[in-house]
Amino acid sequence: MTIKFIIDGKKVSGNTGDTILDVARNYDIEIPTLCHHKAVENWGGCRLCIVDIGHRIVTSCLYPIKAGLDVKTDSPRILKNRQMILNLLLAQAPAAKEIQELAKKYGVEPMPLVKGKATHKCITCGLCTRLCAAQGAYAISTVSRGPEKSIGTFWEKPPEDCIGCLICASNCPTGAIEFHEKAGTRKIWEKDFTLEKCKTCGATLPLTTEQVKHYSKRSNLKEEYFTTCDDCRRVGTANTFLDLIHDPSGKLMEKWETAQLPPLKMPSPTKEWFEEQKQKGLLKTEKDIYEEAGN
Amino acid sequence: MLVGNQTELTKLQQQLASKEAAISQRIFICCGTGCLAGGSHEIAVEFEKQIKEKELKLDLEVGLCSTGCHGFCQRGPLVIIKPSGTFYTGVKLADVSEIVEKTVKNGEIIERLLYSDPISKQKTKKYQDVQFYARQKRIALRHCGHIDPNDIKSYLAVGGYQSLAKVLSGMKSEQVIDAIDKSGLRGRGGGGFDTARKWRLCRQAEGKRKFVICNGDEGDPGAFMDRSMMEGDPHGVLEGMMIGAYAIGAHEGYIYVRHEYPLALKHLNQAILEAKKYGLLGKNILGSRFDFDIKINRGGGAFVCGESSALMRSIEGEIGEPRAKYIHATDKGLFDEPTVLNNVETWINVPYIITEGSEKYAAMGTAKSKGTKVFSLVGKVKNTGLVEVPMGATLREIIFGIGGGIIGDRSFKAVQTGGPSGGCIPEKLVDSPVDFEKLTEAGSMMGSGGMIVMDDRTCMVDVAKYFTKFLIGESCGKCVPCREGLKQLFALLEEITNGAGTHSHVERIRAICETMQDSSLCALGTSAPNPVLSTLNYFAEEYLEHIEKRRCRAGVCKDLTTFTITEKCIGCTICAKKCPTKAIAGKTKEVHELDQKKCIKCGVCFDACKFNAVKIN
Amino acid sequence: MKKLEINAYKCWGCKTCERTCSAAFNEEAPRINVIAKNRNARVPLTCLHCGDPACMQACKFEVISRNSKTGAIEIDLIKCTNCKACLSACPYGNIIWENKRERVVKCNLCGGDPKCAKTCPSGTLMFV
Repeated sequence: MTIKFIIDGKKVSGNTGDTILDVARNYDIEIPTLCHHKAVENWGGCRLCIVDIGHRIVTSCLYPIKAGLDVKTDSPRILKNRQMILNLLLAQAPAAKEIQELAKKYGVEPMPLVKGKATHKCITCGLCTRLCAAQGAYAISTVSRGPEKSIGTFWEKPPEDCIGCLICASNCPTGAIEFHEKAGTRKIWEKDFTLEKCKTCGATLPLTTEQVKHYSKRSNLKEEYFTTCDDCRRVGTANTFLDLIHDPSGKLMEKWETAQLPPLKMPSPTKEWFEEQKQKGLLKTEKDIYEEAGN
Repeated sequence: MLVGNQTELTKLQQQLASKEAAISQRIFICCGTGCLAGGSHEIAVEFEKQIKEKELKLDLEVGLCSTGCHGFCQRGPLVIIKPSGTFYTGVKLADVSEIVEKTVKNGEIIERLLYSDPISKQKTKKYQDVQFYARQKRIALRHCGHIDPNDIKSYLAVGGYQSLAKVLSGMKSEQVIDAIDKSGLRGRGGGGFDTARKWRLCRQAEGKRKFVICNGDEGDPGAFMDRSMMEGDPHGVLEGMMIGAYAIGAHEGYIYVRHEYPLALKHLNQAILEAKKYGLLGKNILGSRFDFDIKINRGGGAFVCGESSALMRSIEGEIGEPRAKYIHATDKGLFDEPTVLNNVETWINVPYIITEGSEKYAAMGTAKSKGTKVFSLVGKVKNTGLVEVPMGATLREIIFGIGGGIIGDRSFKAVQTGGPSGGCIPEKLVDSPVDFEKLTEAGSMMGSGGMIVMDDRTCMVDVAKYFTKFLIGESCGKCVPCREGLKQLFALLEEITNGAGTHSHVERIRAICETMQDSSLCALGTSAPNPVLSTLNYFAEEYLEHIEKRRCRAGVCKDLTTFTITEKCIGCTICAKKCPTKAIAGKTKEVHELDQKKCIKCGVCFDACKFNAVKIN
Repeated sequence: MKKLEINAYKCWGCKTCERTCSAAFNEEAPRINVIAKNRNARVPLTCLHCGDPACMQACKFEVISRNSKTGAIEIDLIKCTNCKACLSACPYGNIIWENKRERVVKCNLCGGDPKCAKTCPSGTLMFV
């Protein structure tokens, strides 16, 4: 059902179950977020996405839209709160560039507060842990609570369950999770991984052994699917294509059929298919097609 | 034995009641957590032994009953002898034989064990006459201390499960909700949400399963009313939950109890087992085809898990962190199904309303807050313990009437209500009535009912700092304003108490508090600045004194305090004896001197001096 | 529903499609690649929008879905977590990692109007 309401004086509409943030993003209305990611459940931890709905302040990433709402994303009250939150975050993570940029954008006057470690970047939003859980790895989690809260592994040891997929590092809003990649190895959370090599050409793939196992188990696809590099796969496909085309005897048709690939649902040009189409009178000559295309 | 229907239940109740009435002397020994620590278990065992030995000689039947908490733990272990109502406090193992000999056998009263009233200084003989109890109106605590919580027969004898039978035998679920609606019962966990409205919303919500939850995760420092109710009247909690479940159409219930309450857990488990044995829990309760089962969930003791959404996450097995409540728990609560979550005290009020009628309940209290409320009165008052008063009673009545005034008759400074995230109410508001609205107006809140009384030896900046520190330890850390704001607040308050405070500190404190109130995720975050803001509003001059004069008038902040001994000293040497660092020197009957280098500013000398010779600078 | 047909026997390897694609999406890596076996055998490869796509199976986050209007398999880039499972799952190597912007991209049939088919001079690519 479509729900109509107003954001910043602009008439907008969304569907039942959408949040204010969803609709605002659809209409390119800017609401800053840090802990939000569409792939996982909405969290409401960073509090930057707060908006004013008149009588109170709500979290736009969590608030389900209602008809007749009058949302303001940048009222003075919101701005004041946002500035204070950014101030608090600046103090928590002095090294986080993204926070500094946001602070600059929202005109934050730095307040003398107790600063965290100068190299600290993490803002404890927990996005990494939520993604890790969604990935099915459950390698990292939040540890402790309150200001002591941090992101960590079980007993602060290299996590057994980590598959080295980098989902935590690549989605961190402040780039706080470090990893190193060197000569076919990857190191994250103090755990060493070996990167898989292409089984055809031997080039290094961006996947670890554990990752391949995990993906294959999760998707019921064979491990071989994941252990060929893009180029080799394309060449392989092209060869199959080309062999097919350039073999007048049609024997390679069988090769196509027996190849260990998921079946193509595109009309694959088998002899039978051609025959069938011809009989139906549907098969057009090349010339017809060319003409129809408007040339 | 299985109770098949309402008639059978009534018959059983009459049997049990007449059996109890036949016993001529009954000794009630408080076996709540407080009294157990005072050795009441040994006392109960000793009583049993002594009575067995003497029973034949006495030629009378003596009943023993180890009860739940009486709420007067300060004077424990407590022993009451009925029907005379003789009330003994601070009973020791050695006193048992004397009590049996004199009081039970001959009806004599042992003077030294009687309660002495702090105001009239007179000994009170009877339980009913003790001012601490006489001024109370006990509804939620009606059975606490008067029944044996480990014996379902004891509960059945006082009419237990009759309201459940009444509901199941003739009331429709809508009628039950109407009855609660008329009584005006509001959630006793702190928020004060209309209970009937909550039930109605949940009843109307669609879901495959529905749940009722009892929130027994009491985390406020110094509060123990929920614990006492679960320990002393576990069947009352179960009965309330069953009535609620019937009203909303739930068949599963959870009781969430923190693991620091082993006795409550034991009693609840026992109560569930017994209720199942009697057919009052499980399938086809009292032949009404209503099924209900209760599970007990032990919490890890996190303060934040007392917040409803965090509690539900905890039951689900996730990290106990709150969620936004834009979608109510009555629509999507536990396991995303409609859920009603109420506090222990709310549940225990339900059977009373059903039996006694909504009108009787609604007659108590103020216009918007009906019924009674249990407070845990602690701090610098003479009588500490559980206090149940009708809504609208004044703070003065609670503190000076029931509480008996301030220890050492010092002057009253403030009372902190609503647990760590409540606020401090100053002396000028002490005559205001206590209900949900009035307390919120005063910048505090009802909370679960903690009440900490403070005298003039309390520094309000230090109090704000203390509660902030507590909240830092208990904040879940999910959202930024609460997690980071509290950290910064504590640092700022620490600087003020260290003597490094400036006026900009106060400005910064206000700014942070405002953001926390506006933009925190859950109610714990939005109310976390209450202790700071309320002290800042009511005791601003104390903050200014810390900042401008570098002085702490209560003598608590060590960096701002020096103790000196004045000419008033008569040389009684008490302070010198009590000083832990031997900083005080002086001869008998001469003015003593305090060595500032050795002094650690603990204030022991100040509290010890009877002649006001120690001065705080 | 129209389909992008690849008549590989016509391709002479001019790579116009690659350049068109790069230009259309302002990307360094085109979503269509011409693979040459020898002088006489070349084929432009792009997403085949399979009936039961391996990439969709591999994605844990339900990021990949079929556009009901165009029939194309599409990636919701906002929702994507860059876990690269789809990238490695595609048996044809038709999902492309864009280094510069750190994201995965694939052919989306230009929202129902493939530019490569328009510019292809040989008639290899046809949207019919």
